[in-house]
Amino acid sequence: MTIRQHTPLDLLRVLLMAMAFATASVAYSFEALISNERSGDLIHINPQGKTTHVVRICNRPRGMTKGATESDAVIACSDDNMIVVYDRSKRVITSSIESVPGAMNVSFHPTTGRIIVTNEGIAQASVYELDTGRLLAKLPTGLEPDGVVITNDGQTIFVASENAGLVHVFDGTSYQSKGLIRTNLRPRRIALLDQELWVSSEMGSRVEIFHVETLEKLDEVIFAPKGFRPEQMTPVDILFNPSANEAYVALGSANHVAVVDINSREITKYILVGRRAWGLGLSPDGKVLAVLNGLSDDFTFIDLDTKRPLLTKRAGLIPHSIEVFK
Amino acid sequence: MTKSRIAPAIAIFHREFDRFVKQKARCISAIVRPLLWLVVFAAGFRSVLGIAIQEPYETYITYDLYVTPGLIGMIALFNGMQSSLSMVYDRETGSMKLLMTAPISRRLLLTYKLLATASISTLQTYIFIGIAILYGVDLPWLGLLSGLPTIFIASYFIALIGLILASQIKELENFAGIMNFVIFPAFFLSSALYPLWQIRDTSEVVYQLAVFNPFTYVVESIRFGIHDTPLTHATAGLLSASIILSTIVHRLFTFGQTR
Repeated sequence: MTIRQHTPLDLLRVLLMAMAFATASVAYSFEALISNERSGDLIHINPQGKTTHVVRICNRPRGMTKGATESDAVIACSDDNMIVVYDRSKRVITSSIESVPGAMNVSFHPTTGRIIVTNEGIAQASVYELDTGRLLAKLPTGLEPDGVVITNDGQTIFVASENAGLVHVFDGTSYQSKGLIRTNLRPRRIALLDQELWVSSEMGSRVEIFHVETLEKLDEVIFAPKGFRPEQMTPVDILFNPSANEAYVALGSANHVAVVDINSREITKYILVGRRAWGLGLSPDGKVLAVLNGLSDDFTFIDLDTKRPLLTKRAGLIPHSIEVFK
Repeated sequence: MTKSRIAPAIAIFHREFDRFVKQKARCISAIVRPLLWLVVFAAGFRSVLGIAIQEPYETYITYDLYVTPGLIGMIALFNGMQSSLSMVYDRETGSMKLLMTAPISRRLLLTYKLLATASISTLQTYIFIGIAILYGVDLPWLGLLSGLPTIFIASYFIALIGLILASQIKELENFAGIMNFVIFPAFFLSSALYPLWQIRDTSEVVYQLAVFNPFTYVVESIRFGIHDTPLTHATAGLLSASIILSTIVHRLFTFGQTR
């Protein structure tokens, strides 16, 4: 049934909505890229949530990170065993690195121009020079490595292995093992916050916080909102706001994003989003949080001033990763 | 408007509001009934609708937010029916004849009665909305304003339907009959509790009944009024039907007086 169609009342309605828009909305300026795992494409999204461009990128694009310029996105193509660099301004693939087995996630270190890729099926992470595609090192990890980060100074690399329940720590120069962090069940993603390493434990319903240098566990945040079973709490992506006082954690099957006060470690709000929220992205001004809902094939924009969802729109099939550009 | 027209309006409004205030049980039950649905019924479904997006909502919503416009419609439905059907009692007790001696047209008299009923319904719904917001229902503040005309029009329309029913009922033995055969079917066979697409998913017959149920348009009009705009087909339809029926409803009443 269609209750509302285009009518002569539209003019009045548009005027009313314009008034509401003028009083209630904020103008945002950014462009987001979303990699869609099953449809094999990349979509460009404007601040209104509209898909402005769709480009076929590769088979099973998953992890994505910003590249050397504000225009570049580096994408891990899992089923094509490759890494591609996509120029969002020209809307073309500008370079690629072949023979990267089971590329799952990718992290870029801007100062040294290196990328670290997790190779999901072979329990390994690989370090490449992005410009030349030269393989610099192979880092042995536990089974199913996923999240990977490198410290700003490039001295330490952290790799989370889902199946092993470990975070492997490597020297960023010699690529030798520096240590091992035993985590709760199924560590997925890692986020660096000054001297803290936040690790999401997908089956442990929590985020654990470790010291970057000593690797000691400092704290943990357990997600247990009323009305949900613990097994529904499957945290994956973690992001921090620019002023570093709030963390956002995508809670997977709980269909919510948790807002965590970094100082008190308290969960201040759970925000309803779509099904199986995994990927997170933040607008450059830190005002909009984008959440990818992997099972409902859509994404949600959240206004971080009000902590209210602004809109939910279609993505491609199984949206995996998002990067938000100026 | 001349004084002779204002005085009966004040009298009718006063009588309706006085009756509403004095009938404390009715006053409380009008608010408690939808609150029970919101607090008890919706509690079990809170995350069910987290999987659905439909106009006018821009994103995923919780069930309590979805069901609130339906519960507002429920308030208007109960109050409208109760108030209009009280005319059957008025007719039986003879107070109706007294009312009809007012020196204004019967059409205007009934319109005043309907406006008074719609005002009480609207008042009740805003008391309910206030409690719902305190309970945690995330209603948009602007929607409280934009929803006002739709709630009033919807309340007027329901009271009007009640009046038409009242004109055809000679003796009102009990209100339960009306509840069973009018209020409950109108409420359940509508989009008040579930979106129409979800109803269609399980039963095409129930879906078609809901599409032809005027109460569906009452609920959707309120829903769009609160979350988007009051200027919708549903509201326009209710308003048109209200105006047209208001001009002829007095013909359905016979009080032994012609005018």
